[in-house]
Amino acid sequence: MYRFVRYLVQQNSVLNWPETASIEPRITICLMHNNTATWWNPEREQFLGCDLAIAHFIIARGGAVRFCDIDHWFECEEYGKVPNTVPNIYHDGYKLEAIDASNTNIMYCSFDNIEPVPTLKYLNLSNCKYIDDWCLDRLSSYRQSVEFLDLSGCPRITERGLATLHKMSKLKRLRIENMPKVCDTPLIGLMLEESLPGCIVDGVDYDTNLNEGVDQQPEAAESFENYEKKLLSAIQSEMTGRYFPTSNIRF
Amino acid sequence: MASLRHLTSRTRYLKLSNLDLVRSLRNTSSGTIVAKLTNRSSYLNITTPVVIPSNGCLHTLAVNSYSCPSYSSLCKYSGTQGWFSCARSYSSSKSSCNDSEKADQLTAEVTDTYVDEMKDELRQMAENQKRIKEQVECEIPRETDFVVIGGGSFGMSVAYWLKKRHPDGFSLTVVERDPMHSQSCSTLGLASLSQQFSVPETIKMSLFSAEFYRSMRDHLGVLDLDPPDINFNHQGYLLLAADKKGEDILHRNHKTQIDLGAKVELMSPNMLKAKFPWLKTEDLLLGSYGLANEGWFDPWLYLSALKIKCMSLGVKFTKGEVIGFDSEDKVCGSSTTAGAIQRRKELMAVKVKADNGKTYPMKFAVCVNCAGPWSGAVAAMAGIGTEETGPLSIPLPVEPRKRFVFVFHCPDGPGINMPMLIDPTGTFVRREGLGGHYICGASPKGEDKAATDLDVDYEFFEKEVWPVLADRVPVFNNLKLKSAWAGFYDYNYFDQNLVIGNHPYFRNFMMATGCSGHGVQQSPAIGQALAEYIIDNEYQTIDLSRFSFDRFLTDSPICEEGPYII
Repeated sequence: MYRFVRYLVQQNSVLNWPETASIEPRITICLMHNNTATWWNPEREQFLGCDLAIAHFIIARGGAVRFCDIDHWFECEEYGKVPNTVPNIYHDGYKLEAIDASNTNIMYCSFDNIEPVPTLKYLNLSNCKYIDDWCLDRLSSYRQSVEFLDLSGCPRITERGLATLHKMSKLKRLRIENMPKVCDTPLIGLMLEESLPGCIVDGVDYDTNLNEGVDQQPEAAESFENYEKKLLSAIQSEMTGRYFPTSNIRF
Repeated sequence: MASLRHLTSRTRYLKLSNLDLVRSLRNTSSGTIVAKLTNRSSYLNITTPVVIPSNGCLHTLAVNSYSCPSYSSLCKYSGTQGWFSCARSYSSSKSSCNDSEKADQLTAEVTDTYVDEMKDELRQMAENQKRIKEQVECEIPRETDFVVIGGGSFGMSVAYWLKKRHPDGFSLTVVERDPMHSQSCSTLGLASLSQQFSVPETIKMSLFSAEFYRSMRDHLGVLDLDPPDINFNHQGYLLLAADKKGEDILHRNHKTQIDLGAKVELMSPNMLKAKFPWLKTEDLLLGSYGLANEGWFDPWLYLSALKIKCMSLGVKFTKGEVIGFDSEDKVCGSSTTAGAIQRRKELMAVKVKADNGKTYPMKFAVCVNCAGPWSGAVAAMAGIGTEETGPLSIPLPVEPRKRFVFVFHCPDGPGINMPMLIDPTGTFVRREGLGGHYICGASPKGEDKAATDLDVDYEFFEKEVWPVLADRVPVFNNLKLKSAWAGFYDYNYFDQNLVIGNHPYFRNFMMATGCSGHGVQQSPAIGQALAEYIIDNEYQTIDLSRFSFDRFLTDSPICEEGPYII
């Protein structure tokens, strides 16, 4: 029963009751129904046009976007709200170039809101805990334009999902650092580079395998304070439904 | 310090301290957990307890009765301060009134509906868990509401969807003669998923099944167990056409598939050459490539996930072999009508032979025939197809046909972009893993009859499969055959498509079989469709009424049209 109640903590924490009160509370094993990260709002797109609709969607959920010819990132200042700098009516000249959805709750159904715009070049999905192989399969919709893809740290992706990325023919750079469920990362990295001629795969440590068998320093036992900090941040993130990232890289 | 406070609304609040709770919880002999409140002499009976070591996490308890028996509420204990909020309480008793004076502060209010739902679901979840723990292969029950013959992908899928609707509403037994599935077509088959069909209902079923596999954690997840995973490999199917007829078929099918939402792309020979340089494209006219929601998975993991979920929902699994049916003659038609009184046979019980050799009858209300390749034989036991004329003259046209699967290794073979390749002759080949292994097979061109054994014919590979492969993918000239196995198709020799629904004469004899090789991939959709048909009397999600048994009586086959033969 332990996991069930941990799930309750995530979903219906009494500490955050006012915030979650608007969400229909239903105890199912499915997290998706309670997660506003997924709801597809067609009116948003009608009002704003494709690019701005995606921008609003991403920014409101904690991500950041960048438009063509506009140098800075439009970031999320407060969860759930879009800053005033992003227009809330359709404007010409806002063409989406980059999406940084790292450390958000984005999942398969969220991609309903992300139309494949032809100018989208950069897609950062690192440290998204709900991104899995099916989402990578769905990324084939963006195969005509995406040149940079970052999947580091996604805990649910396996090598079977990475194998589907051969469809992304325009891909120039792929980051697959620190992926716990991928077996044989060097092998899949090499095979991807083979099938995608223009692509460089980052984040794969080809040398580790070579060093196996040689004397290695045993890993230092983690100090208790670090462990406690991690536990607290894990509890905190579960309580509030937000991710507390340990690193945040943007190019 | 425990205290209780009345409100004018229907909520009550109870405060317990952290230490009180943990110290006082203990099991009673009746299986409930009882918490003793330190300053009160009465007890809280707590059912479906959920307790976590107190480090600030949420504790949730369901409280069943408190001093006065009419009190029924759900208590939620939160945070480190030790507040309980109980909602939905009924009439008060005098003792409770006194408490209100000693009452303490309030916690957050919990709405009634939320609490009700939570209480019900908590109870349900605990029961489910209990069921898994006690579920062992059960004795053959004498009576059951539904009996599912065959515990493969179809049978368990139907059992899951039926029981999901009303877990406690009826009893369901699955009779499987081989729990190890050594000959089952679910486990011996390749379990590939594709949307590239020509019949619209089949495409819809594949799309639904893809969604099911994608959200399998939610559908088939069981509390406190690891979420199920079927090792889905996402690679599309590539259907090739080498003649004008095949090309037209591909164009037509592509239009149907796109209309229904499948993600399929037509590729010209130049595009094929650019994307798959290892493929011979000189004689090809067109290719159809699946972009998403296609691939293959591990059927064993799928079956185990289904079985555990079914057990948690209360499905009983019985090991036994069906050897016959008991039927009764029922009178129908009123005696006042002119003419003879009509008699009609109705199936009442199924005779199951247990391990000990004895046969036991099991009475049922509805029988679902999901026996796969042997469903024709099971239907014959019920009398379907055994008479010369009349409603029982048409048999269920499903029989086991043998198909081979060969595994080979090719060192320079295609890499990770290798799709599930289907040659215009019907030979298929796909990659297996990342180490240069491939799986292939083909349908026999010549004689193809019902089979009883699973011996592999290696000459079939040498003569019919390898030459085609080597021609289509020249690198495959240099390969080494590693292993092979044979499996049965539940082959529908009428039109190689699904048979679903009830038999027109035996209205309580349902069937779901006959997919002839593409059954496992669509089992979620088929299970749901049949469950809807049984409970709601009509198909709700995907309308499969075209696939009923009646088409055999009216001789209207629904044939799958593809540029290949499988």
